[in-house]
Amino acid sequence: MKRMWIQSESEKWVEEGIIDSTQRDKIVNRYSQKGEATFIFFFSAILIGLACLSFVAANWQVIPNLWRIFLIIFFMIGFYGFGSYLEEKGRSGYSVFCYIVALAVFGAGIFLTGQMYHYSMNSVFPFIIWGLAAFLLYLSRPYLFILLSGLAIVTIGEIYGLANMHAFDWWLFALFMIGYGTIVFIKKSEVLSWLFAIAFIIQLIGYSIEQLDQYYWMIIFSLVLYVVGTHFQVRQISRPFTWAPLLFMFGFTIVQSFIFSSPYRESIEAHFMFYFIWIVLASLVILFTLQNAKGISLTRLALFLPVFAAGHFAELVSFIVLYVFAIGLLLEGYQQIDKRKVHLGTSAFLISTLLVYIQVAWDFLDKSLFFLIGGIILFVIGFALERNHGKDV
Amino acid sequence: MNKKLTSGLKFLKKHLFIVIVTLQVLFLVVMASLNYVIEEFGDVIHLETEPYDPRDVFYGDYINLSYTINEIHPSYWFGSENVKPNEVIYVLLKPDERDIYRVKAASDKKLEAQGDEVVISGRYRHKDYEQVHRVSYGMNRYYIEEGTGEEYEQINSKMIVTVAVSPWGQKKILDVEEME
Repeated sequence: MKRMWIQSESEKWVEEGIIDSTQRDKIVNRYSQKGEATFIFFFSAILIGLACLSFVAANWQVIPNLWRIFLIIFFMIGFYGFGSYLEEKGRSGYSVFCYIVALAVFGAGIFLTGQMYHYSMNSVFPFIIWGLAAFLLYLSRPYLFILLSGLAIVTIGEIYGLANMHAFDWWLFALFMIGYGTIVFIKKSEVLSWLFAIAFIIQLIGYSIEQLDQYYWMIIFSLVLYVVGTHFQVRQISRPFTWAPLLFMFGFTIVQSFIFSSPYRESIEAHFMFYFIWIVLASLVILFTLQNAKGISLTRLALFLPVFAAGHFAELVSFIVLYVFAIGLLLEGYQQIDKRKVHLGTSAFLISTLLVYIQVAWDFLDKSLFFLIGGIILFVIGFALERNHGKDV
Repeated sequence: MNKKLTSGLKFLKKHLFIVIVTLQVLFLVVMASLNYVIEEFGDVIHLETEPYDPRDVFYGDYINLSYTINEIHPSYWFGSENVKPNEVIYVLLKPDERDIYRVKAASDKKLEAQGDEVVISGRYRHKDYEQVHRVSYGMNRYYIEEGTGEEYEQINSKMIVTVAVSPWGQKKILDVEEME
C-alpha cells in the first residue's frame, strides 16, 4: 500500500526536480513489500497449527502409541526443516509460518504424550518447557512472531495454573521476566513492549486475586511497570510501560467506583507493607518524572492512589482521581501540543463525566446543569488549545 | 576480522537452531520412554475411588476420579499445622488385606517407606470443616478412547485405579476398573 503510494507520488517529485531518479529508487526500496504478508502468514500458521492439533486428536485412537510419537516428531522436524529451507531461499514470511507450526506441534506433542501415557500433571511444567523452546527458537531465529507466540504460551500457562491448580508458578514467571523481559529491553520494539506490559498485567491480576486474595495489590504491580516506564527514556519502551498501567488503572478505578457505591461492600484494611511499597514506588515516579522535567505528568500518579483507603468517601475520591487524570492529560496535551494526549484526555473526561452521571448526579444534581458544567470545562480547554495552535501557525 | 566474526556468528546461529530442534525431539523421546521405565521399575499400587454420582464421572473423553486418599484424616497428619495451599506434601501408603493402598501417614516433610509401603507426593489443597486435609495428586483425570464413554457411564460403584509410581516420584495411571 505504502510502497505503491510512494512509487506513484515520487514520480511527480522527480518530474518537479525535488529528487533525482536514483534517490527515488532508494526511497522506494526502503518500503519493501514483505511486511504485510508476514502478518497473514502468522494467522494462517495459527489456524493450521490448530487444525493439526484437532486432526491428530480426533484420529488418535486408531494409531498405536509409538507411531503417535513418531508422527509428532516427524511433523515437528519436517516443519522446522522446511522453514529453514525457505529461509535460505529468502522467503522469511513462509519460514516464520513453518517455525510457528513446528512450535505448535511440539506443544501439542508434550500434552498428547502426557495424555497418552496417563502421566499425572500437577504443575505447569509443560508450559515452562514449551515457553522455553519458543524463547530459544527466537534466539536462533529472531522473528517477532515467534517471540509473541512465546509470550502467549507463558501467559496462558500462568493463567491455566492459577485457574486449575490454584498456583502461581515462579519458574514460569522467571522465564517471562528474565528471558522475554531481556529481549524487550534489547529489541526496543513498541509492539513487543505493549504485549509484554499487557501480559505482565494479566498475570499479576491473576496472582493478586488468586494468591494474595486482595485485589488492591494490582495497584502495586501496575505502579512497578509505570516506574520502569518513567525511568527508561526510550520511547518504544516508556510509552507502553506507562500507558498500559495507566489504561488499566483507569478501567480499574471505574470498576472500583462501582464496588464502592454498593452498600454491601466490605471495608478494606490494607497491609502496612502495601503502603510502604506504594510510598517507595510513588517517590521513584516523582523523582524520575521531575528528572525528565515533565512535572505536569505527575497528575497521572493520581490514578494509582489507594482509593479504597478513603472509607466512606472512596466513591467520591475515585471520581476525583478520574477527573484529575483526565484534566491533567488534557493540560499536558495542551502544553506539549500533542493531539493524541488531548484526544485521550477528552475521552477520559467524557467517560468520567458519564460515570458520575450514572452513579451520582442521576439523583442529586440537575442533569442539565451537570452536563453544562462538563461542556463548559471542555470548551474552555479546547478554546485555549486552539488559540495556542493558532499562535504557532 | 570483522568478516570472521560475522561468519562465526552465522555458524553459531545455524547450529543453535539445530541444537534447539534436537533438544525438543529429545524431550519428547525421553517423555515417551519414561513411560516404559516407570512400568518396568516403578511400584505398582491399587487405589480406591470414592463413590460418585455417575452423571458427574464422565466428562467428554476423560473420567473424573476422586480417590479415597484425597482425604487425610487428622489422626494421620504428622506435618505442620499451617501448611499453605499448593505446598508439596508426602503421603505414606500401606496396602490393606485386599491389596488396596490406604493412607498411613502424611506430612509436609519427607517420609520413609518400609516393606511394601509407598510414598507418593501430592499438593495440599485445604482443610475442610471436619479438619480433614484435602490433597490433590494430579491424577484425577483418566483419558479414555473416544466413543467408550458409555462403558464408564454405566458404572455405579467404586472403582480400582492401578497406578505406577516411579522411583523419582512420577505417577502414571495404568488401569481403571470397576470394583468387584
